[in-house]
Parts: sequence; structure tokens; C-alpha cells
Amino acid sequence: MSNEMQRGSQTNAQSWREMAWTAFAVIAVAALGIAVWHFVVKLFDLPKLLLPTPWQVAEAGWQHRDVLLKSGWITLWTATVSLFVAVIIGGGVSILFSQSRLLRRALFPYVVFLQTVPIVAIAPLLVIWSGYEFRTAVIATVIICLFPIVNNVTTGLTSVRPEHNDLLRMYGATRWQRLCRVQIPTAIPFLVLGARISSGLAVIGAIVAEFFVSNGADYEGLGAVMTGWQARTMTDALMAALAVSTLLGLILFGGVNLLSRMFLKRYLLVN
Amino acid sequence: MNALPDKIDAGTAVVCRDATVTYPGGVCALDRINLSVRQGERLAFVGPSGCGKTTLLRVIAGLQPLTSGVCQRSNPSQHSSENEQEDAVGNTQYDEAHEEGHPLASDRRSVSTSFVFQQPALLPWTNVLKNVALPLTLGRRRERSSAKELRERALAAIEEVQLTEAATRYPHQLSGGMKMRASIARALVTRPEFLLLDEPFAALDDMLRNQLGRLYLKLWRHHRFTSVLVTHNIAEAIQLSERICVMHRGSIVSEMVNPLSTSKPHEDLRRTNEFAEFFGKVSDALENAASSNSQRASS
Repeated sequence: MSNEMQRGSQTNAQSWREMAWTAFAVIAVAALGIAVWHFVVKLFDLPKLLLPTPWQVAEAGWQHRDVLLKSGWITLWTATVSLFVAVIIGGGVSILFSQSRLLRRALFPYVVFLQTVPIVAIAPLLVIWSGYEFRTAVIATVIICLFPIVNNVTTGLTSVRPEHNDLLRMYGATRWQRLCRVQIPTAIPFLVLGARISSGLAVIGAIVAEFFVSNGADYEGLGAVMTGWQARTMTDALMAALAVSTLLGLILFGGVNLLSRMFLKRYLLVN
Repeated sequence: MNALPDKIDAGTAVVCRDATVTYPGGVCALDRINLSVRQGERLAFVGPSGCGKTTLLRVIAGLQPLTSGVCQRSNPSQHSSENEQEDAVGNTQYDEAHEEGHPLASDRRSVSTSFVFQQPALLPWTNVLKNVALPLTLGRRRERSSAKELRERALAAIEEVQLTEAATRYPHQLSGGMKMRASIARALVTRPEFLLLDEPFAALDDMLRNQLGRLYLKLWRHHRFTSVLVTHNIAEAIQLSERICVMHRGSIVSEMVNPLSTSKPHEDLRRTNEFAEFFGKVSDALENAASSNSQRASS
């Protein structure tokens, strides 16, 4: 076996060991958190209505598994579609921003506005304009997801290395060639970073949007289900839904990581 | 110093007249530079860091606009037509067209000029072959050849720098010397009449530096391009050039014709007394410029 191959297999073994330790640490922290939670409920003899034990939450989750699975799937679909739309719109807006400093200066404050305005303030308006629809939930979620993507991708598109800029100018590259050959490849790691941040936000946005969209509609996303359970003070089921929403965030985050590693590896390795 | 020709002619590759670059804030990077480079000549700029060598090279390349003065670069491939004479001259002067993003900016540079940067500047997301072929696919006047022809030309350039086995590797899989060879191949792929090199071997060890120096001379003998090299290494300037311009604080303070440029093979040159003697002369010119400057400052 050559030295290079030996070094490669050593690095692989090392990274597996690191991953195993990380997984162990995460599970250990979760186990500790659950133990403390259980201990606190028992110690203070808290009623189930206020804070159920972890076991009671698990039982409620199992009992409502069909509803959680169905609503979780709807929310995951809303979040995924929204994230995809945000990547497309955010990427397009960033490309426009990268081509004109004037446009960037004029419009960027409005992108920041999307980030600062609370979604709970916009959602009722969106319902009036767009109705109690899946579309409305997507629009609200896209608004939440857009800023990290636009901000990161614009930074990436305008962060071309000076030597690459000189190289392109030297050979008289057109604006289009500059964009396709260097700006977009340079921005890809930034896009992945923005999408990772937005993947968590997408689940939050979808659930918040569902709180509003569910009223008077046949819409059964996780947010809609949680609204119903909250009205009936089903704390244990609400906490089970919370666990599912966390899981959705992890799934979406993992999906973004997996896709970027599968299709964009060469852009990520080198930057 | 050589008398400057009034007009750029067939034997002249570059003429700079009173070329001045002042950066915002008042820093004078180039102070009324007058320079003429013959076609096929190997010229070197030596001087301490910050003396304006790279700025002058960038002016010649058309990457740096002048504050005042003019720098004209001929394009020998277009000299054949009298009617095209005006187009055959690449001018760098104080001109809004050189501002980044201006539609005229990209058209002013000729495809027959190539630049080897201090950093290899390879695109890290694509392999050596595609990096080398890149200049052939850029610009409005890009090569209208088929993908196969472009590939063959890129492979030929890669072969010239003895990097064939690494053609499909990515830059992060190459050593420093291999990256620089790929960078030289990319510069050669357009068959340039003008090669500009900005401290290309500065980051390499002595052995690699000598090896690439020999490669550079071999390529020059084969292609006979006009070449301007920027370096702070006097020995490298002597080994690789026919004429040396010593720069200090934005000015050319001394010009010397290198008597050793073709006398001995590259590897034997450093061992000769003549080399030591000429090295001393260039070194003295640098020291004199520095000391006269400090005297002026103290008085």
C-alpha cells in the first residue's frame, strides 16, 4: 500500500472516530437533559397539564403517531418547497445585486426589512391577500428564509479573489463569463451556508404560518395540529409535536448537507 | 537610458511616456516612468517591496489605469494591416473606460498578452486541463475552435511545462511547483507575444525556482515572446533577463544591459566571476538609490 493510501485510510479512520465521539456526546447530553427533566417533574410533583414527564410525552407521541406523521410530513413538505423557492429567488436576487452596486445599495435595505419584520405581523395580511392556502404558508416561510440566502450569496458573489478578477480582466472576460466561470462557483459555499441557516428557519416559518393558515381551512400541518391541541391543553401531545418539529429541522438540515456533499463537493472542498 | 521612440513601431513592444499612478490618498506608486521594451526582449524590474514594480507591470498589462501619461503596447499579430494600425495599439492612459465594469474595459486588452501572477491563481473547482484552457474560452473574441481543438491546445501547453500526468488533477492535489507550472501553461496556451510575470517563483524553494527558471528560458527560446519579469531577487533577474531596470520609490533609477544573458547555460551562470561582478553592480544601484533617497529625506 502506498504512503498516500495509508495516510488516506488513517484520515478516514480518524474522521469516523471523531464522528462516533460527536454522536456519543450528543446522545449523552440528550440523556442527561431527559434525566434532569424527569427528576424535576418528580421532585416538584408537577401536574401533567403543566409539565409531563418524558415518558408521558413519548406515550402521547405514540398515541397520536398517525396525526404527527401526517402533519409532520405536510410541514416538512411546506418547509422544503419554501426553502427551494427561497434558494431560487434568493440566488436570482443576489446575482442582480452582484451585477450592480447601485441596485444593491438601493434594494438591500428592503431585504433586511424582510428579516426584521416579525412573521406573525405579516402572516394575517398574507392570509387576507392569498387565502387559507398552502401557497400562503409557503410565501410566509420564503420571507423568513430569504435573508440568510441573499446575504450569504451576495457576499459570495462579490468575494471573488483579486487574482481571479485580474485573470478574467486580462483575458477580456465578458460580464456573463465572469459570472458563470468565477462568481457563481465562488458563491456556492456561501449558498450552502445560507441554505443551512435557512433550513432551520424554514421549519419555524412553516409552523408559524400554519398557525394562521389553519383557521377555517382543511389544512393539517404541524402548526394547525398544535393550535388544536393547545386549545384542549394537551401539553404532552404539544411537546411530542415540538419534538417532531425539531426532528423536521434536523432532517432538512441533513438534507441540505447531503445534497451539497453529493453535488457540490468540489466547490466546498477547496474554499 | 534608451531614447524613447515617438511612435510605437514594429520593433517595439511597449512604450511608456511619463506614466504616473497616484493612488487615492496621494501615494505615488509610479512617478513619470519612461520606458521602451523591444519585441522579443526579456526585461526584468528589480527593486525593494513597494517600489512600484508590480504597478508598472499591471499598467503594461492594462490592468491598472494611469493617473497621467501614456503606456502603449503593440500587438504584433495585427501589424500586418495598415488600416488596423490604430486597433493594433493597446493604450493604457487616464481613461474612464478602464474603470472596472465599463463595457470598453475588457476590449482594450489583447489576447496575445498573458500574465503569470505571483499566486498561481488557478480556479480551485476545476482541473488543470480546464484551468489551462480557460483563456481560450474567454472574451468576445474567444477562440471559435471545437472543444476537441481547445483540449488539444491545452494539452500541448501542459506538455510543454511537463505536467501531462497531472492534467486531470485539481489544484489542491498539486504541489506549489506544479501549480506554478500549470499557471505558466495557462499563460502559454494563447501563444502570447507578450508574457508578463509578477514574481512568479517568489513562493518556491531554490531548487524549484532554478528548475522553473530553466523551463522559462527554454520556453522563451522556443516561442521568442516579449517578456517582462518582476522580481526582488537580483540573481533571478540576471539569470532570466537581457536587461534589468532597477526601481526605487516609483521611478526607474537605473537600466542595465545584462552581459550574461546568453553567454552560459542557466545552471553554470551563478558560479562565474562575471555573475558576481554584475550582481554587485545591480546591488550597488539599488543601495545607491536607497541611500540617496534617505539623504534627501534627512536634508
